[in-house]
Amino acid sequence: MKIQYYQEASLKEDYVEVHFREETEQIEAVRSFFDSCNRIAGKQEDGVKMLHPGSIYYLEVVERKLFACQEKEVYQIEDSLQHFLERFADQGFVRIGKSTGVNLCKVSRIRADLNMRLRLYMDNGEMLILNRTYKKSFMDALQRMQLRSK
Amino acid sequence: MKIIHKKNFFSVVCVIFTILLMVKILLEYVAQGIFGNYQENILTMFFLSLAATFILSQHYRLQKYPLLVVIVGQYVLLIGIVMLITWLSGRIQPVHENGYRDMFLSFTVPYVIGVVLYYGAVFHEIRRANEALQKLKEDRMEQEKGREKNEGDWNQKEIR
Repeated sequence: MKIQYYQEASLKEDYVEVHFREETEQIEAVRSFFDSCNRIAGKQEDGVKMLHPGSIYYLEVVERKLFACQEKEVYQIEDSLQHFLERFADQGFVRIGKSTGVNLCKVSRIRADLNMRLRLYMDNGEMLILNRTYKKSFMDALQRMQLRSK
Repeated sequence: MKIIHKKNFFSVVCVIFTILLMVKILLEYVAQGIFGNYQENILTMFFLSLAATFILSQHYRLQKYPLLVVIVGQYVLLIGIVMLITWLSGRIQPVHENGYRDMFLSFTVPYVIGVVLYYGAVFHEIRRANEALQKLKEDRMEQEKGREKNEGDWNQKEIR
């Protein structure tokens, strides 16, 4: 397999294209390697599953353990909330509380209550509270994501 | 020196105006020995602004309390200070019979306007954020459609 590397400072985002004639074991290995780069191990009682960050709705720290909540499933992740949010910030993850982070792409709408607490309604119907301390960073992250998607 | 731009233009004007006014009052007092009602009023307003800004700036320490409680609490504290200053100045020279009412209105009206503007700004920000979320979702869906189409094209394409 011929491999070529090109450095282009003008690129907006790094990317890899794999051209192949047919699916071989080698191609399969390349595919699983790149899949694993963007996946994280999520633990449940019955085993470990590789999770795609985009499938996570929100993250929560409970008793010093980080949990990733998908639409219905909850997995424990061996990572810190801060590190996870930094690693996947460009995928829309942002902190909304001392022990909570959210995937912006899974937020359906925002509403304010009388006390100006912001409520985030998720695509799966759950509701999270956006702490006023993190409102600015949330709005900034939303703006960044909007610019990125243009 | 700070660069003056659109965002800080108004605050820079306010700072320059305040400095000039305070220097003027000080010079009038030092050079001409004048310290009348208008100087006293301006100084009172200055110290009230200072106290109000300080108290309002402490809002970040009160994050755990509901905003309505914080706003009302800060108002009660500030109006208390206003009334205390009015009462103290009344010990030096008599306060007009409508003095307390005027001070109450002078403080309450701008405070209420400020609160209304703040609430309005928050709701405006939420509306814009909801629009951004909607747009983000639409863009994501388009990107996914495009990616699916590309993958389909690549699968069909023969690479020589």
